[in-house]
Amino acid sequence: MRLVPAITLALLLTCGCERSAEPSLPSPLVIDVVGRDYLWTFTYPGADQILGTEDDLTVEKDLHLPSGHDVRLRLTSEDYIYTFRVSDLDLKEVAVPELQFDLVFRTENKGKYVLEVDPLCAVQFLHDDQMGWLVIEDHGDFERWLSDTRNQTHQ
Amino acid sequence: MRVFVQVGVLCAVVFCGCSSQKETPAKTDPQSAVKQFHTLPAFSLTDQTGQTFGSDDLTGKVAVVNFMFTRCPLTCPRQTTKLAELQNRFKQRPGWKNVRLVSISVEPENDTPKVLSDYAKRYSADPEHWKFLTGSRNAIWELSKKGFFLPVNQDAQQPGSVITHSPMFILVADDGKIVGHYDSTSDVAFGSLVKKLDGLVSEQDSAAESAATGAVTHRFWPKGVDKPTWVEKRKADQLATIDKFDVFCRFAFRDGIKSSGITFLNRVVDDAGRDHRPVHYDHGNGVAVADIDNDGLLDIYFVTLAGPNELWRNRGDGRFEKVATKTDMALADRICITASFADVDNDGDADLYVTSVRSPNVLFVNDGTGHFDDVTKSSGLGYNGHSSAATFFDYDRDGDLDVYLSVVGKYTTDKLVTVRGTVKEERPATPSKYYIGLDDAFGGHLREDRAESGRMYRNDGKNHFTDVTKDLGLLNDLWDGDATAIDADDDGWPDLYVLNMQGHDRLYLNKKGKGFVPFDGDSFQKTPWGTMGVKVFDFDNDGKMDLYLTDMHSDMTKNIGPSKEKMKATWVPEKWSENFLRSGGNSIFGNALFRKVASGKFKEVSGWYNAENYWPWGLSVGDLNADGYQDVFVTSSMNYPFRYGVNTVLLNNKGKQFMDAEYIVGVEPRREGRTSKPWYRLDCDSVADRDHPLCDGRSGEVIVHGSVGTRSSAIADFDEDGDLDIVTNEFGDHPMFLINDLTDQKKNLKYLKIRLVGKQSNRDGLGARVIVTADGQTFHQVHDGKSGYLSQSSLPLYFGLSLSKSVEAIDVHWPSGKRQHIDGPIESNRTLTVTEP
Repeated sequence: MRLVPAITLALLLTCGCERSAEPSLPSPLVIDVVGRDYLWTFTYPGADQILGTEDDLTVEKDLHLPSGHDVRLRLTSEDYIYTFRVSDLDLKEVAVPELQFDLVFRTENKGKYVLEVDPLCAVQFLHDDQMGWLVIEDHGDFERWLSDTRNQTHQ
Repeated sequence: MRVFVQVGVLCAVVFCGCSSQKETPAKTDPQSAVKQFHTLPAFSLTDQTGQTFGSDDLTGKVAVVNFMFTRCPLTCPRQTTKLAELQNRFKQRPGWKNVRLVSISVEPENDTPKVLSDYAKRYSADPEHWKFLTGSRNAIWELSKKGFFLPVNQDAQQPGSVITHSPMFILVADDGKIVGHYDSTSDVAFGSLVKKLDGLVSEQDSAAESAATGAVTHRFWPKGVDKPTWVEKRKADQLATIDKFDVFCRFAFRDGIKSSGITFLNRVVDDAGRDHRPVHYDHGNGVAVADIDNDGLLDIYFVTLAGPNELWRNRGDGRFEKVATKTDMALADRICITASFADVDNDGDADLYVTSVRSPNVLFVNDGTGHFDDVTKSSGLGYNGHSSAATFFDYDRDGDLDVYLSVVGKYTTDKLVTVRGTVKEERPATPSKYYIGLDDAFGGHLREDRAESGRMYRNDGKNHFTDVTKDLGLLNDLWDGDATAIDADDDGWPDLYVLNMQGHDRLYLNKKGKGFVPFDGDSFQKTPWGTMGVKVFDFDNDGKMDLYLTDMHSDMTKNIGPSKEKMKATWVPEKWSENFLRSGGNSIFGNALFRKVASGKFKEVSGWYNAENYWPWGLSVGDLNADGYQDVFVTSSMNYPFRYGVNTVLLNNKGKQFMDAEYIVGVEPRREGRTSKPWYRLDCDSVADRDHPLCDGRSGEVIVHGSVGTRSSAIADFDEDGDLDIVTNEFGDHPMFLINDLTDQKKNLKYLKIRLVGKQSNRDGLGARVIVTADGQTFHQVHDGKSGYLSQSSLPLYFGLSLSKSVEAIDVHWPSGKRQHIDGPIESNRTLTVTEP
């Protein structure tokens, strides 16, 4: 079990040398998830595969993830208490200002899932009944989405 | 929905006895047909008075249209009954003048104006508002089929066979737009119609009001807050259970708040209204009861967040008068939470401790005549934080009352603002200020820096207290709103059960007054996750003191439908993560009833005994039907912006089970059938309000409605007629004063009220156990003053004695350790004072 990340890392390094333009996805794929004003924002690492650097990609509302891939969502909030919840995938974690909770998972279930609103984050009729979507797609589609979105954002 | 509508049509066909009619309507998909309806088609027909009535008469009016005929045996009577229900429901509303019900006959050759007029009268139809129309069959059938796209048929081969027609109600808005179709054979669809119509009538109400005042007023009801359609069914279902009660239940409470003269108003802060955020302010306030002037009558102190607290003196003639005190007991300069009456100086009168958020708590000492002095400064009890309930008990058994102050935790910011959403008629003389709540208040239990320990104060005598929290080992990080004394291990030393509103409760065992240690036995491994209320009493008359806890926060997980109210919220761990719950799998998501089975051993039996309910706060316990078994009143219902919940009366069915009885005994529905009220106002033309989300697209005044809901209660015989009445403290509303008519309904009512006077023990006798023996049965009560949620009161114990002729014996186990035995026969139906020897 402990060996796997090391091997992955080794592979990544190797691949990184040869294909510096499009490195394959790190595992787990770490994404920062922030609740703010009844919306989720999602930050993906850039080519350097490190979060918190200039080439990060931040999107609102819709979270795209590759199927069959380990994912770590690092949840926090800038205002209210939110619950990141997808009932169909049995995913739930709380987002609290100044605290970070991680949601670690992997799913094969491709599809589009509603990110539900929780009563903890104040009055529902004052904002949408959902805080965004989770899109689980195969690697190819995910990478295409990532690269298209990155290109659009950086244009 | 599509399936639903088709089923409805099928039912109509069957009901009308025309099963031979197999022909499907031209539009096979009623839903798609619906989409084609845009506006009211033009028509001109004749009404039941012989006058012309047509689409022109509906200009600017809201209308409900249906097709029917007077000879139709089944669906039509139902449709007409439902329309009559609408008429009765809405006719008092100002907007009713702009509403019309239109019933069009599909058998006009038989339904002449005279026939229709007679028919209309049978349903008490108001001819001004409810039009029954006739005309030529061709015109009407065309109108049904082509104007409204609704099928109407008759077997052409068999003239005289029954006509089939659509069972739909068509709702038309005042701009002529068709805004809905509702199957008259479905209660659910009818509920939706009522709701939708209510919204439209509200707009007409506003229009009528602004026509009167010249100003534009809008009204807004959050989803589910307008007329809840399930209430009638709930009532009917409960009334149908009356035969299942083995105990006397044919008595009723009536709300006598108006005749009582009590005008107190509980006022909320904008965090619970205009600027709603989920923060602990909405937990509300207590109400405490005591005879403040020793005239034998019980007086009431009401607490409010904003505006003044009020003390109301019982005049003895059914009316109360507001006490104008020299000392400021209104405390309108601060946000108050709870009140506790207790004789802290052992001088034979009720003193009063009032708690507050972000202002010092206040101790008032009574001089015996109902005059109070504020002795906070010298008392050591002026804690300034996020205080909640104060529980007086004599932990060290030295003969005076100590107090455990529950403290919630830091849920406010440092931003002090003025309450500004108050509706016109409820504004206090001086606007109140409060510290705005934290946006993330409900994550406070996850953060050490937000914890604020409860405080234990030892009474040193002379109205001075010392904080002994740390010395006694009671420092804690619980989000604690209330607590109770309980001798869980029967060692004679009162233990302390501290509630946690977000997590696990904690029972502290009292080590002979020297310290407290957390209980580590098996019994309380699981406790309710969001505990708000508590009461210790013997529900099954086995002589052991049981523990009833109410869980509020578990009901906040999701929108719980009326049919799920009696279920445990098992979905909580599916909705909220363990990182938030911090329950370690050790939570009950709902009320708990811990039945005591032995010293230090309790068994959770809430499911078996029916102790669950929806959105509870706290509870009061008393023998409401005087049958020797203690009944329960659970104050319930969250207010803005949530849906209404009923207050729960649980009649104790001889210790076998609690039975829901709030409708049976007249506690529900509430006065005037109210389930909501104006909650706050916005002036959308003002700088202060125009950015409010509900001012988006609106100008003028907006009145936003919220559900009504009770927080605290006390059960006591206020009118001294021998039965127990109930007073409540509502959140953001006037109280209820529920007067029991048991004395009139129950022949041979027997009871005994016992007032304790401690000598070596504390003067109130708090902590004493009283055992009454009658008819060979024993009835146990512990005197702890715990009268209800966030409150402590000074009340005599009330023992209902069923049909006993007299009391055979009274035993008192005083907190001093003394045992007192009084031999009978002891005359019943009076208040007996028992003084410690």
